[in-house]
Amino acid sequence: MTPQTQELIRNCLVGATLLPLLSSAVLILIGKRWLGRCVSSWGATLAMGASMAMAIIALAAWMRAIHPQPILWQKNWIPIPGNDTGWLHLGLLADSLTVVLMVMVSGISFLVHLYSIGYMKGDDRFERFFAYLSLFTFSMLGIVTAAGLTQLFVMWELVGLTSYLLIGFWHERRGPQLASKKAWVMNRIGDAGFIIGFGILFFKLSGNVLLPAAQGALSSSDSLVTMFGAIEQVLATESDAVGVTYSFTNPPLWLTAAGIALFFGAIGKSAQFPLHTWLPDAMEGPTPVSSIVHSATMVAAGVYLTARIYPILTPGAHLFVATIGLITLVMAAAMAMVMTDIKRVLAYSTLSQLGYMILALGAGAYSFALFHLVTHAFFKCCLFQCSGSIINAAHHEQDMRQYGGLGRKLPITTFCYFVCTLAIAGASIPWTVWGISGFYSKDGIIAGTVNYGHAMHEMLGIWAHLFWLGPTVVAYVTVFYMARSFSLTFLGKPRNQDLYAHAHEAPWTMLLPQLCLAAMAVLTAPFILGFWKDLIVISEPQVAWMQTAANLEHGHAMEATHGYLLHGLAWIIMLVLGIVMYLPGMAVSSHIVKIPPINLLYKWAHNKFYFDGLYDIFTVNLFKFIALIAGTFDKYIVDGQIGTIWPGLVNGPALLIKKIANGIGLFDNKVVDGMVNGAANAAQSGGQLLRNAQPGRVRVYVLLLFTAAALIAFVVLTTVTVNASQP
Amino acid sequence: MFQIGATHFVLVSIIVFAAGVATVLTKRNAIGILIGVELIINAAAINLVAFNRYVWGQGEAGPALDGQMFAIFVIVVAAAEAAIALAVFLNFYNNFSSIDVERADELKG
Amino acid sequence: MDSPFYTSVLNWMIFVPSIAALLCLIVPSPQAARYTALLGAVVTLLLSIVLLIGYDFNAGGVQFLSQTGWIDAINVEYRTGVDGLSLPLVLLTTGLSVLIVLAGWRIDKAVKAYNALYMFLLTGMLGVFLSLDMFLFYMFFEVSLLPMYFLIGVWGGPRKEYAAIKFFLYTLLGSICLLIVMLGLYFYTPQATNATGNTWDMIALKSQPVSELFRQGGPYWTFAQWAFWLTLVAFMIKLPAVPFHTWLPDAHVEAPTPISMVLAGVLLKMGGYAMMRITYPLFPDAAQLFWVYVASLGVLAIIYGALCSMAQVDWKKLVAYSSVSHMGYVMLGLAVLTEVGFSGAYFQMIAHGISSAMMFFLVGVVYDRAHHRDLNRFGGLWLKWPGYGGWAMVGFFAGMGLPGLCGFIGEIMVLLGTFKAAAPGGVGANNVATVYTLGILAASAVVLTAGYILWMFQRVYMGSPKDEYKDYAPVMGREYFIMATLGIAAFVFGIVPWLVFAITDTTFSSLMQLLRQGLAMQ
Repeated sequence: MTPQTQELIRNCLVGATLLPLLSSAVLILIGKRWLGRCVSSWGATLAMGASMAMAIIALAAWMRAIHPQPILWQKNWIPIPGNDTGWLHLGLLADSLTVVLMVMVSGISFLVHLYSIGYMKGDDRFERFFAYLSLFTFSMLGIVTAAGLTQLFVMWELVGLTSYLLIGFWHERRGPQLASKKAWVMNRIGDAGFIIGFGILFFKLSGNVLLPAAQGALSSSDSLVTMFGAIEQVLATESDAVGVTYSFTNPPLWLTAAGIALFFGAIGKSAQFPLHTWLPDAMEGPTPVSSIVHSATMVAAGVYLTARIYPILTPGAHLFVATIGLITLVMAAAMAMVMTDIKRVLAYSTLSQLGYMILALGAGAYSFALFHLVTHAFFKCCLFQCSGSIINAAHHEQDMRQYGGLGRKLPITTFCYFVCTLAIAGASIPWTVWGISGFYSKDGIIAGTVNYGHAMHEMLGIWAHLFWLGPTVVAYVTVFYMARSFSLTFLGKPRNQDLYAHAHEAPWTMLLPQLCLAAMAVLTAPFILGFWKDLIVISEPQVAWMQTAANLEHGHAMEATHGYLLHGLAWIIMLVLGIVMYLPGMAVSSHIVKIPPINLLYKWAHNKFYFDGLYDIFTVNLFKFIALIAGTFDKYIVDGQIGTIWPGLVNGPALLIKKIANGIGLFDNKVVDGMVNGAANAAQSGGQLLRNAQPGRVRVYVLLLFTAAALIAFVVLTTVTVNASQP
Repeated sequence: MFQIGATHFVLVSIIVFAAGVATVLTKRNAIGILIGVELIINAAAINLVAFNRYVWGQGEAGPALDGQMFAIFVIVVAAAEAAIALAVFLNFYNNFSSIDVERADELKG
Repeated sequence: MDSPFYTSVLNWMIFVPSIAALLCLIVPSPQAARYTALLGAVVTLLLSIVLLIGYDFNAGGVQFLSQTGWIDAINVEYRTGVDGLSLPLVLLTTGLSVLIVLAGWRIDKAVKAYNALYMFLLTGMLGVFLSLDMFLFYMFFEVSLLPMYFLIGVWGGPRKEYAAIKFFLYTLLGSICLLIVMLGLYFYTPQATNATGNTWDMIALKSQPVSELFRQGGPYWTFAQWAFWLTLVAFMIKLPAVPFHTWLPDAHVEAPTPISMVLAGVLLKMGGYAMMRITYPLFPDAAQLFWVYVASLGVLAIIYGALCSMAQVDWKKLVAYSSVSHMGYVMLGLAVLTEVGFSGAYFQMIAHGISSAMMFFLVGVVYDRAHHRDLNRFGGLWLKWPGYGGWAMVGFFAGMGLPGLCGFIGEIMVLLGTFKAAAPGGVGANNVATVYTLGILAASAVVLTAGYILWMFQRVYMGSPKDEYKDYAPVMGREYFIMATLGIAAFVFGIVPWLVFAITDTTFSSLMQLLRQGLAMQ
């Protein structure tokens, strides 16, 4: 890799990162007053396009380079006196992961900008929206290019700020107010964990908090510069001191703790259990915001962080990560099945897919987790944009029960939605290895979890099977709920004639991004797959103990595990099932819920799918039951409802803290302050008492005077012996 | 007859002093109080003269007149004091339309 | 450096405001008094910039030293000088002063007296930061109280008398603690300095061999332990730290807006500054012995302040309690005795000076129009005044510690410094669990901070404008100027934090050396 190439990549990445910041600053300062709506929106969009172009140039340069080396470029920021490194740095670390994600983030952001021009048309704060959107993109690009935990954290917080601004964009209404606040506060909970992990690593590593670069990366002498090498060094020193041989398989407690603490940041940003409740609420924001939050930026940040710290996670931390991923994955999928708001279905779907990624990272399927991150970004962004077009067409009605038959009115949106449904379903041609994007990524993740389940069997016993069972089952569920939403929205008869009559296709600025994303959703797999191995798979961090757990050569994982999706038939069955079941709207399913299941099953099966009735009991109803429990659990136990006996894991502590705060406020006012006032009062009442001796009448004073004089004289005369001798 | 000595003068002085104190304490009229004060002052003057005569002034260098000097000073001061006191009473009367000292408790804390 | 102009810059700085104060009283009209005060503040600001230009960053140590005998009978000298510890705070004071005079432009009750008292206060504040003689320091410490008392007591809100007397007495209590220690130091020092006799010189007191007296094993070790706590309490009251903080909310609530700004922006910093100037350098071993207690008090203040803040419905009280929480970081950063923590604590003071002044001003702008501060009665101000809402975001998020704004740097450095205390050679090296607990608790407070700021932000700024806002006057150019200046400062210090550290670095490294000696002895 020549220095010229390095410089080119570096400049492109820095430029791509800073350009959105520049456009955002310009829009905030002079957007409304001088630039106007047209210039503002198109300017921001074009700036984003330029940013994307630079990212693509960087990617191309990276791929053309022979033996590309990670680029590290730092600028001093906060001086850290008395420390080995001397500074906290801002800076760029460019390796293959960075260049790929840069293209993804800037590309999707560009399309979302374009989409917003149509979607936000008519909004009062149009210019401001683009400013926030660009700032949001900038902060995500900053995360992706961060060389160390410092910059990562700074940008991490900026993502929090901008998501707050965007989710609460329509803050006149109460919903967005609460949702934006909730999103940021819950993110801050994760951030507190991040700071703790940062602090532990900071003092253990003498301030060296550079992220571990992708492997293959820095030459051995340089490797000490990164966190991974520094940790190895510290472990060696501590081993000498303690007498125990520490390593990543036999780690000291602080290393596990640091890993888990940092992962808490990811739990917050990627909305994992138990901090996931903000994400569905964040639907209150404008739809373009949802489409970018759920795909390329905010939730992706958590996955990205976990991937970056992947090499320093210990087995215990990996287990924690995998468990969190598993819980989120299953719970969210179950909930996605019962939602009737189209955006909420997609939101829970996002949660579930993020669970896949986190589980995969925990289970050691590193490259597939990232692959799924990229593929998911495209199809989920597209799905949200489609939902935005639908909502736009339906005059802001989001309830799927009011839809139906929209496919005839919105052909292009329908097409895009269907393609993306296939992509998220992991569609493939049965008995072959050909499919579209979701197929490859999800398949690889399941393969990884199977291996992880086997490896964990010794430790966890039968529970270890959950690690692969969960994702496999949810793969079916995913198809089902997506098919359900597709069916309810586009197929069947129009259930609200008024709405149907006024529905119309969106303007081209909204349709073009949808089509692009749909195309990407189909193409990413075959297109990327070729060089994905060159870029990510070969640069996967070589974690010694993890390889034994994965027990497979990474390149082979894909071919070896296609069987797990039932040779590609399963998705077809679930898709058809979902579509057909909801063709008549909620009529069928509402009966399933209300009436004893057997009757309903009979009726339903009699009409359509008689042969697989039994299957339905155990899928639909069981899942619905689980979903109901999960939904209730989420609503009442985790999130909590005010006024019930159990205030909830989230609202409860908030309520409790509020109460404690009130109590402390009272305590402060009455007790702490009371003591202060008490002292003053004591002095005052003492004075009051003495005051009685001062009647103000001359004769009393005189009396007192003489009495006192007489007393003194008496005392003196009786005690002092006068020497009578005369001079 | 017995010799008149310091004791007799002191006795007289005590009687005058006691009369003065009694006057100050019992009279409500400001002028009465002033008279009482004058009596107290004069009791002191008697003492000064008496002690000079019997105790202090009989040194080898001949009789001294320190006590008498002080007594004169006391009389002068008493006159000045009476003038000031009368002025006070005048003001007092202006404020309270009376010279009953019980009426004044402005000093009350 | 040696020119007479340079040596007298400090004295001019201290007394130009006093001259302005006298002029304020004799000028013919109230408007003239305002301009006189503004002129005084600007001239002082210019002088402090001269100071900054003349200051030799690399040399460190005390510069611009000027001294002359004053009360010879007890060796009191008039000794002023500036070093890395005081220079940024001096600049903060002079810079804020101009804005504060402008913020009080619309006060129309006894304008001459108001401006004169404020200028007099400025003398006191600068005197505290610039004096190097302990007696002189004490005197200025007290001088700054008196104008404040009247400024709250005369120009304040409904319970102004209560708040003013509470503020005054509470701070006076602290001064007494300080006085005891000062006398002790004065009478104990001759032992080591036979040649010079008793001294109030702060520099001499912390130099060898005087400092040896107050170290562990020295003859006055017991006194040093007491003295450490006494001075700490004295400055904790000023800071203010839990449990000595209750004067602050009252004083803030009653004080007029500009006085709240100066109270939060500068007066609280005297506490932190004095800890760094007196408590820690003079009694390093005691500081090391008691670090856990001090750090715990700091963490307590952080969490307790945040919780109290959350409970308030009075907007200004909320901001006042947030000051308690933020000053907790200063305590924590000092207590852990790491370079990072110390620098972080110092930066936190500067940052809080900017952000809290801004927050109080933001509250004041609304209060001037609404005449109430009930959080539950607001809503929709962002849409009412978009520009004001934008600056409000900057101000409050700077207080919340958002990266890119000044509040972040201090917080993160203090937190990192706390963890750093567990590193070998740190105070907590043998007590790692304690360090972790403190660090984790302090870090968790960021959630609470976000909680109260965002909740407040939602209740006040978000939503649709209410009908009652129709009569409110628009935000004026003067107000925008103040908000913008503070907001830009918040950005600048958040993005280029080494602006401060460039000044303080050399001073801090010598200070830490002093403290490290204590550590090394153990």
